[in-house]
Amino acid sequence: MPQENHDELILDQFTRQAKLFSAAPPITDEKALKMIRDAAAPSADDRFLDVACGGGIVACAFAPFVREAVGIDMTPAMLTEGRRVAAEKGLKNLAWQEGDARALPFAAESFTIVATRFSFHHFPDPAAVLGEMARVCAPGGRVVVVDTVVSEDPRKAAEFNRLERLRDPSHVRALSLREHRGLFLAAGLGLPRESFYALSDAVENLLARSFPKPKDGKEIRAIFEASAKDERLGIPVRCEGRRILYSYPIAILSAVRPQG
Amino acid sequence: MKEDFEIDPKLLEILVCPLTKGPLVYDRANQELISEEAGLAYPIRDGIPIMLVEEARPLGDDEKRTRRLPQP
Repeated sequence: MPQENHDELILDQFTRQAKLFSAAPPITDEKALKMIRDAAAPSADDRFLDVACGGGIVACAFAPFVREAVGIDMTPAMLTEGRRVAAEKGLKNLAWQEGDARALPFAAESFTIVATRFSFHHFPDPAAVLGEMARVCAPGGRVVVVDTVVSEDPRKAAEFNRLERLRDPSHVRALSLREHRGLFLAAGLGLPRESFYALSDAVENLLARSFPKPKDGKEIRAIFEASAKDERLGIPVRCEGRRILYSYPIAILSAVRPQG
Repeated sequence: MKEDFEIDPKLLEILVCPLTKGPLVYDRANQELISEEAGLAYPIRDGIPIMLVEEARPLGDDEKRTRRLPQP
């Protein structure tokens, strides 16, 4: 897909998701945010950057623990939402920035923690983004990537990614743990430390939070139902009466940027 | 421009042109960040710098001549 078209899909999906996304309980999960904080170990001297920050949930979760936090995203509606949430929480050490994760508008080594959550599966070139994250991170600073990880079985990974693209046309490809590790190594960050959690919910709620084409809603449900029997998605799925419950495995990957 | 949407001075210190990674000059009157090297002016809307090349205004020839960059 040409880059411009992909950018438009991102803008469209996230402009519509902006409000819902930051209010959805499975995503504002305080425990998950605490796990991410634990991985990044913020201190009062840190300068924090949230890349592809969306509604700024992660930036807001770090702001009270660092000197200053910046959220950057290419969707203006998301930044407006982030600023609203920050004001509501009385957070004053946050700044917002419209920009592209592939070309971060920051000087080298500007931050001491550079994090991104639920964004890598939207990037056609995640290696370029991780390279930019490493560039703007000071030596000794932490680079943190949080995202859904897919099965190492290529068929299951492909089926999961097909499902996600149906649900959210701006989805590109979620990576496996092995692929994530490869990106960290290629970016010169070494092997990341890893922790995991599950994002569990009912398929009905998942569909209500995204904006698939109407005819795709049915197909999405059918794929989940089939996976409850044959595990084709490579993630935990089970049916409880008419409800379908799923768990997306989420990895928190963090590495210290080496000196020099 | 409302005062509470004033651009964060700490942000200005670390912002660079996304294209050249070179310095930017803050044009307070026009609410733009100028990248001389790239010949682009990035707009600031409601205090949020829009650091996207597609959104930037190409500088006119006369602007390029008259602007002077501070030495890094």
